Amino acid sequence: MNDVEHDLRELFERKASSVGGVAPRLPETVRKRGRRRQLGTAFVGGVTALAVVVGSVAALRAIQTNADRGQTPVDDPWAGYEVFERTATIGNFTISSPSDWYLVNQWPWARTPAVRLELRAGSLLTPILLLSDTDRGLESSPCLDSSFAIGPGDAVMTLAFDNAHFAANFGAGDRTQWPVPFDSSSDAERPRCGPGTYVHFAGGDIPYVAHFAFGDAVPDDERRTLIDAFEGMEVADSQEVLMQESQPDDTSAYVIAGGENAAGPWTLELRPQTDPGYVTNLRLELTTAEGSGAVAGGPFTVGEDRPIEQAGGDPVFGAVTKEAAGVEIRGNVLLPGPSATIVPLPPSLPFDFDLFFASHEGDQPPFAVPVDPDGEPIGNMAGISEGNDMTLFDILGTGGAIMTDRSTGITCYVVSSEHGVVDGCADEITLQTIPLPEDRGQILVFSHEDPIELSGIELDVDGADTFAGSKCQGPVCVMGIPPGSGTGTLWLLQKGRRVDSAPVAWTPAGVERT
Amino acid sequence: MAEGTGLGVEERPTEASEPDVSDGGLDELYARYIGAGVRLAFLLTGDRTHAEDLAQEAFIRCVGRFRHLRRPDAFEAYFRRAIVNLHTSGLRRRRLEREWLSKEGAESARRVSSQPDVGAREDLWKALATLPARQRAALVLRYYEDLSERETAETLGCSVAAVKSLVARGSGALRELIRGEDA
Repeated sequence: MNDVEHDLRELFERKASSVGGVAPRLPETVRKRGRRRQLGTAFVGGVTALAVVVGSVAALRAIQTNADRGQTPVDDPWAGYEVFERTATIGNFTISSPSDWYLVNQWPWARTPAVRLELRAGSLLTPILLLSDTDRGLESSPCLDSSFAIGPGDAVMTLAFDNAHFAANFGAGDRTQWPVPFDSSSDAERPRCGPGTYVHFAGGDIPYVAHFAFGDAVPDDERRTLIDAFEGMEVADSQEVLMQESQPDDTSAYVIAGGENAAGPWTLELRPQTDPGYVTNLRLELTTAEGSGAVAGGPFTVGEDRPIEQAGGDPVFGAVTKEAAGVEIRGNVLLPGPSATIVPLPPSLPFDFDLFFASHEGDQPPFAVPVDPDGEPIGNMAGISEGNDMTLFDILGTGGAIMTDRSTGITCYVVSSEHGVVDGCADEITLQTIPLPEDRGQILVFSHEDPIELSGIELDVDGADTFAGSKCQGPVCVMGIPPGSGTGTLWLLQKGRRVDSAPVAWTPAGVERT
Repeated sequence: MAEGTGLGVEERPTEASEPDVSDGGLDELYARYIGAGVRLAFLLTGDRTHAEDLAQEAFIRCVGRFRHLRRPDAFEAYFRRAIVNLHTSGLRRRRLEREWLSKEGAESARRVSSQPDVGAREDLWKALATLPARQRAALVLRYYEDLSERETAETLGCSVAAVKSLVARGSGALRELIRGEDA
């Protein structure tokens, strides 16, 4: 045991003891939220479990049979989606390619014990990545699979670590250092990955092979795209990647996005979820400059009741219903924000939702909001509004409920007569109204700074012998406004006593101070 | 696992059984696991109140999907994983934590000056607060929860190699930070 380990163990013991006793009684709020979540999970799970199981079987079948049939014969999954340039780092390679090409990180899988056995008997090339214009599944490589077939329109590049050369030369030997151009007349005397063009090069002391396979009818622009991706690569010379350990259950992954945040480069990878603990579908893994796979995602239960599932903070990413025309990243759920990029799933992962990602800058925690073609939020945004500081209380006269989330300093709420009809967040200090459906009036949200410490607000309705009112929850006061139009006096209460007032008028369009 | 030394149960059941998630069962489940959960969360966050929130939120999430777990007897592992994931995923919590850390940093400095006998440990605690969340989580899981590298990797959702890297980098950073303060 080293010095730091010893000190840490002692410190952790002491600090944990300092926590003292924890009340073992289940708080009522926790019980209610737990029950609500059980009900939600039961409903969503019941619907999705079958879909997930069916989908998982289909996905596995697709993955298993892709190598045999060469490609997945489906319509273009990118039809209707905006193609972007995807730059991602896999091992020592940083490569840019159009997002509608399939980039597969095969390095974790290719180094598993089972695949290593194949290497000994085969090409002695360890695949690192595969870039293809068609979805070939996750475990398909011309350097490992002799039945790998190239269709007439296919263009495929494989980058591989040259085990044989490395072993013979204790390094890269006399291999030309990167960058090297694509040369269709390159040496192909040892066609270890079948027919095609081979380019040999080195990054530092590591020898690599790039293998290109083009179908007879592949268009020139696609051929050029692949060559440009190759020639535009950056190749680092670190040997650290060779020393990474592999696990028997490591798998390949689709690389769907890459970028850079304050901590450095990040890559977002996608693979079928195999966690035995959950009923699951997909696993999104964010690899950051920390060098660790930060998993955040899956099981994604995107559906009518839950249109979006946000998994990460920086970058923001997750899954969203296909019904969404876009996803906006907002610090305040009500205010429009920058758009996220939407990515369809590869055909071999047949689940009924899309993925999204976006960089996030700024202090406000990001909310990913699914929007319709008009930019209006869709669904009840249940995936957004969950939090630890939600408070549920009735609003007088509306029959609805509101939840406020003050954990971030933002007032967020979901108003509903059943389950979420109106939703959003208020600005910091505002007088704001939200119309209720079916002309049932509107909600007035009055948020203010502590330490005003209002205990409530009340509305005297002119010409009526009634008033509406609400207790304030911390800095947020919410109350119902009657349907139609009218005038009255809005009272502010401290310790239950009216201390200030303002004349107000309301119409279905909102409330104004008069 | 003894009380106070990890996310073990407060009173271990006499036989491995599928926990009951009826109302009464929920109470029992909560009573059994919440204390250890709060302690783990406290070591991850450094804030008692935040730790309680985190543990309760994790409990709610685990209970919510309880009937869908393939191995319901493994509640402890799921609960631990939920706490760590909630902590490391950050989202809305990060800003609060940073604010708390800056306040706590000043508090710790004051406490250290008046309690020289625990000064070295408080320096380490303060240094721990500066580590990235996943490095801190890896150290807590390895040295407080006594998880193996494989178990830590499963909890953090990363490879064993990544765990080794996180622990090595975290320990190295702590060593450097403490050395820097001593100099």
